[in-house]
Amino acid sequence: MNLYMDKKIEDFKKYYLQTPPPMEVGTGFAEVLRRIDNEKSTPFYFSRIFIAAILFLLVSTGVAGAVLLSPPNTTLNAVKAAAQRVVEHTFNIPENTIVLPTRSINKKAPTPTLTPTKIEKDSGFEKSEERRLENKHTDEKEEDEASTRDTDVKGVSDENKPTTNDSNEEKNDSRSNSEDDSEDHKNENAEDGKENPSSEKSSGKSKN
Amino acid sequence: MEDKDLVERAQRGEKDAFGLLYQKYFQKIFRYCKINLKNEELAKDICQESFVKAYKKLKDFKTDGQWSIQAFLFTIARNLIIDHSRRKKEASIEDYENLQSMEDPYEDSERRENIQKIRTVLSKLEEVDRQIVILRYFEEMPSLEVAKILGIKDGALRVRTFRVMQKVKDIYESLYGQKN
Repeated sequence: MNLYMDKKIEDFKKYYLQTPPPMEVGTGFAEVLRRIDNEKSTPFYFSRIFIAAILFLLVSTGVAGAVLLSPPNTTLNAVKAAAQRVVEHTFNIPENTIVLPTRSINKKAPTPTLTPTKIEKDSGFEKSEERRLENKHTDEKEEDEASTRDTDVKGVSDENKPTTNDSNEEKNDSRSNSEDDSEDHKNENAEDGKENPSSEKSSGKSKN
Repeated sequence: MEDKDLVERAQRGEKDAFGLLYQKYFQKIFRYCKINLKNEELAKDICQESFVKAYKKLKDFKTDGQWSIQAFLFTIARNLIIDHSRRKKEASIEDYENLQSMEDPYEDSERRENIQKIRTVLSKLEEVDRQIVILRYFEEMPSLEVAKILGIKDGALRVRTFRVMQKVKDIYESLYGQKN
């Protein structure tokens, strides 16, 4: 630092160190002792304990409230039970009035398994399986009906007599069309109809 | 009698020993408060309060530790000054100017002017830098004690002390020119 600055700083230092005391030392110390005695005589310590007690109550109530409002958690079950007891005791609430949402400690979260999941009812596989079974049943019924019908159409010429196959197909068509609305099945029936155009005619004849 | 003995006696509840400590450090603490607070009555009050607080905390003070009773008293005083400044938010420059009226009227006018200039420069410094100038240059306290009072490391204080004096010079020149 430059000399002129040093001189200025030195001047200030002298001035600073010569600061006169505001009062005599003895008077000042008497004042300090008076303040110390005043602070001791005032119920400062009691008030500090009182404030600490209030703070503790507030904090504990807050913690208890937070625990009560918190979602069920396994690790907090013990704390919750303790908080429940504290709240019940503090506010004179009969025991077990507050029901806390607790989770059993033994209860474990479901573990993922490699077993195949259950097939839903709406799934395509289920539908096609049901359809297959239904068709099987209807086929059996129709076969029975056809056998009985053969016996009924006696007296009709052989030309007009519907073949068992045709009638079966026709019935199958009508039933399946009415029962099932799936596209695949319709197509199958349509193809059947195309392949055997005589079946329609024969069915009409049979109806007649 | 050494500080250590006085402190130990005061810790045992001997008020006379604490009185001796007061006698020894009152002047230092008062001027430190006055230069920071810029108000004599307030400085007196904070100084007294520092000793009251020191008396109450004296039981926790370890005589075999690195802290001296001087650093202990200055730290308490500084904390009280900071607390007061936070509450009041006083503008330092105006207060320094108001303090001019309290100067000795018979003092040399040039010297008075210089003092006022340095005071203004000090008011422009950061709080920690100002404390470094006061404690290290004016009070001539050891750097280790100053570091403890300010809560910084001794090495950092040494570096900062060098920079502070450069800052003082720069601020002075920017405000009053090179030769003034």
